[in-house]
Amino acid sequence: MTLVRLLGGGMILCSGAIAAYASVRRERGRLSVLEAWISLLSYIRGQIDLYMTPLSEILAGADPALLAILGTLSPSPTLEDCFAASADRLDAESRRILIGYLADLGSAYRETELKRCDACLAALSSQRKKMADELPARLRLAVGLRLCFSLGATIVLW
Amino acid sequence: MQSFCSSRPRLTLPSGLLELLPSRLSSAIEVCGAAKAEELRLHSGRISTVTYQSRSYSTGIILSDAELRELLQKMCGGSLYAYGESINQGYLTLEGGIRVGVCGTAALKDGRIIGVGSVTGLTVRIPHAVSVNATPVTDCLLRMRRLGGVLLYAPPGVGKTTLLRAVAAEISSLAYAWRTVVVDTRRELGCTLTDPTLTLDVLVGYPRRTGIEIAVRSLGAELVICDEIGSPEDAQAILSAANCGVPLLASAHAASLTELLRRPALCELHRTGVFGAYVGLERGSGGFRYHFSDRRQADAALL
Repeated sequence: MTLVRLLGGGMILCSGAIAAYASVRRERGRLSVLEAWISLLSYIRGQIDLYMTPLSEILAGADPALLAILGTLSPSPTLEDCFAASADRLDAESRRILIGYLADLGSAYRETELKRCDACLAALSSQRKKMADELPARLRLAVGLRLCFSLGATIVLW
Repeated sequence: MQSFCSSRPRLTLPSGLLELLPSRLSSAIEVCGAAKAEELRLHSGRISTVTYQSRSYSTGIILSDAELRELLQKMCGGSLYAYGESINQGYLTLEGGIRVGVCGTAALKDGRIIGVGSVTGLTVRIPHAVSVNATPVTDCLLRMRRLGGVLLYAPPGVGKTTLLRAVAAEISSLAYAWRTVVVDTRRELGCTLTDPTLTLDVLVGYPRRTGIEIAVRSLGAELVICDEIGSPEDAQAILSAANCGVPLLASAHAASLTELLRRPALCELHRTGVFGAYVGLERGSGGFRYHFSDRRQADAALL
């Protein structure tokens, strides 16, 4: 009986540890997706500024590693594909900023596009800084909560 | 102007263009269609018309500001900024050499157009495959090889660009194989020059002056072709190309030789002997008719 209890308790603790690990990955993933968007927008800004590349061709020269972080599997992805693939891994504020930016992208002349892109990059960068500052505390909270919950459950069920 | 549906000519448009147009306009054009439309004139708050055999027909459709704005956005492939420079110059070129004239309100900064706001009109010129006998002009160029270039002139819409394309294809074909460089500033001259056997290079989107300089200095051109010359900057670049011994085949808007040489930049080019021959172009029922003039005749026209 004790062996069964030990086994059950061990399983609960293990699942708590796995859940903690998954939440750490998710929190770090959010930050890396946001960083990937910042890099992608910087690249897009350069393409608009230097080459005035149309949107239909703009992602052809983008770093495949960046697109992979965003989760696009399509060989010739659009910005909408990138957003759809990464939306659930973005925080609400970054999502709101990107939706606003992407909705108007391509509808203005170069100077205005560059200003909009700069504004979007500034907003995302400030969001990234906020998230990076909060990350250690969020990780501690996520890991602590899951481990405490699994420990508590083990004790209660013993 | 005739009513479109009363005369009912059957009009066909390139499918790519039909997809861009507001559905009510494209269906109005399709329903009534049978020959080839040459031009669409679309206005916000005014009737849209179709031109066929130089006659305008009303479509009965009045587009709104929003529809015209959306159409322009679609024509730019959702990337207005990529066409900003050409829109500022009053046009944009679509796939297949379709040229769209843009009319609106110019935003100026230091006397330079920096954008076109509230677009009120789009004039869509649709190119057609016309069988052109370019050989007389090619022969003229061959005769002129060491004596100067050839300048084509005609009023707008006659077919100068079509003829330039035909000459470019003929003279850079294996029969002559001249190293030809086409300076395609407006992205419409080189769009059909895709035959892999042609010995030509196409400089797409380059300003005429820069394009001519590159053609002469870097691409070893034996012939430079460019469309619609006439500005003092063009004249300066053409002069430096001509001084390198590279003949030029160019076109300019003018109804007659006298009118052509009244333009200061072209008159200057004539005086310096850049062009050895002038070819007036006229469209007749059996194709193009050419009026060749040499320098002496041009001098007489100038007087």
